[in-house]
Amino acid sequence: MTEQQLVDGCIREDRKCQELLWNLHAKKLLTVSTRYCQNREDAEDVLMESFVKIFDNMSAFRGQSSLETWMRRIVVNTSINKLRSRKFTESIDNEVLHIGYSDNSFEAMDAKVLMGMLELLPVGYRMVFNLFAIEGYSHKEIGELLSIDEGTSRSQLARARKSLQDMIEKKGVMHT
Amino acid sequence: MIHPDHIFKDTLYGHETPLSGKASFQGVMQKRNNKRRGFFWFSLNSVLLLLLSLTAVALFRSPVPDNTKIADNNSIHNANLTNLGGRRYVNNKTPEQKESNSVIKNENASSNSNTLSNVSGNLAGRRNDVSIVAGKNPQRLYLSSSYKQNGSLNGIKSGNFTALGLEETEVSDHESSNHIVSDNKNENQTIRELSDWLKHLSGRGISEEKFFKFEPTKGMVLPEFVPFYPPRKAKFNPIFELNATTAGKGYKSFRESQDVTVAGNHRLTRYMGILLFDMGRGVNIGTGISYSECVGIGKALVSTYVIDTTLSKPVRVTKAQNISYRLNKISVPLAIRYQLGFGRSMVRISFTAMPGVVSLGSGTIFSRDALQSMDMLKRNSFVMDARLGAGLYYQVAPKTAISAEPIVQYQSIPGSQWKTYNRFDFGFGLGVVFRP
Repeated sequence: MTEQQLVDGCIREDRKCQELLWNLHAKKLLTVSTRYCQNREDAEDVLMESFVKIFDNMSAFRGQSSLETWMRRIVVNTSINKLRSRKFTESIDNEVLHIGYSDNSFEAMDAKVLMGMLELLPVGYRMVFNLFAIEGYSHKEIGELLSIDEGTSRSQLARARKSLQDMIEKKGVMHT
Repeated sequence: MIHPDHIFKDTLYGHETPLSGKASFQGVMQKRNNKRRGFFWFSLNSVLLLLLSLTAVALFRSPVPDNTKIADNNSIHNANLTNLGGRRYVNNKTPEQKESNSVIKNENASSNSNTLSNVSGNLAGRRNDVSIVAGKNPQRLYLSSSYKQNGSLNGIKSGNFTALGLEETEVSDHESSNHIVSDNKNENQTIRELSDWLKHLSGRGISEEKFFKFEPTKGMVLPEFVPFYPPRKAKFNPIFELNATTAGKGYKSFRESQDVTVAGNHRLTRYMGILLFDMGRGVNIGTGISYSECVGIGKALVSTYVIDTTLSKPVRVTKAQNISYRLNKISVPLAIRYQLGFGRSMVRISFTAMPGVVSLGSGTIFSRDALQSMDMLKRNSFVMDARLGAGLYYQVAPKTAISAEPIVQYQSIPGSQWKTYNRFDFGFGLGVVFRP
């Protein structure tokens, strides 16, 4: 089944197509939401909310980008909205200690370890780093998305990089 | 120099995270259905309320009285006054009777007093300014300056006074549920209110009951403000009220020890149908039936400390838990309403106590320190809610009014350990009131 057939099927509310879309993309998109959210439960909530939006708005997909890119954007936006509504938890979550990894070679770092590092970043750093470094947003786009100016976005990114570099160099048990 | 961008992008961009049991395709479809159902009910309620209002307006709107005939004849004071209020008793009489009454009283009025003729004439000429407002409001009669200038009722007898709309309005029929306001902008209005007058009269040994047979003595000078408050006795006229209320509130709760944080929100929708009885003086009392749905969502963060063997020190671990519950109630509202009138618009103060029972309790709440199933909540548990509102009450037709009021609402808690349930909510109520 081609991507276009899949999209058409979802527009027709064909349950098989919708389920196929879920099976194809849910795991990847869960990684995206996990990078932004404070915990696994929030990330899964975001994933499900995002899929509701995706199914509801499938007819708005015009094929100007790939389907996955479009879906990732929805997940990113939903994650950011979720974070905004869950700001009160930040003070507590930042205190949470995480047991890190013991492997000294960053080449061997797996996704789980890197996710752990991202989790240790303050929310602002993490969002900007995720958007810029992984999703490929520009500082202008980030500024519009997070309602901050471009300069703030740049400085947050620089600080996020510095923090991540430190973590990678230390390669030990980390905590904030 | 390590550049983290590439490391993270290369590793994480296409990475797949295994799903837990909670995130599933079935869950997504369930969420979609819930969302659609919520939208459907909201739309349906809105449309029903609108249709109800429009139907009520269409059904109960009184025909506009024919002004022409009256306006042409200033001397038919009684008929004018009769029509001033759009009073129903007129319809109880045949046209011949009406004509006959008008002529007789007109003759009385004409022969007895020019003053009264002026008064009536002025009122008659301003019938278009007259409005009727449902509710137990003071009846006000604006008299003309000619009356004020004379400053007395010399020569006016009770029959003429009747012509001003006292006896003829037959308060017992209408129980002051309407009030008359005739606005005279071209002259200095004299607002004469009966309460003051009654005080004045009572000072002269005339009781309220005798008021309608009052015959001012020759030379009696009336006070500057002549009141027009017919005695309002409770007539128990039925009034039917349909009301929909929405309310909601966010909540946050932090334990002093900072190991538990609970936050979220809940929203409540309540529908009420109430049969009220008019008790006089703007007070309605009644009862009916009410159904409410309360839906809450939230999150609890519970921190615990574990000893990490590597670090040999306590490590704090925070776990998030979802709160989600639904609580439906059926209750018997005991309502009291009070209307204060200012023309067609009025201010209404309403209080409703709602003893009732739980009809449905499901989901998970957060008790003192842990999640707890709503199974703890027995069906048919007794609950007591209350609602206090103050807002606008607008008459859209002679027998129909709509109300819109901000409310504060109290909900009792069935089971006392809830941390995520607000006793007090703020919201908004919309209602339609019919007077058969």
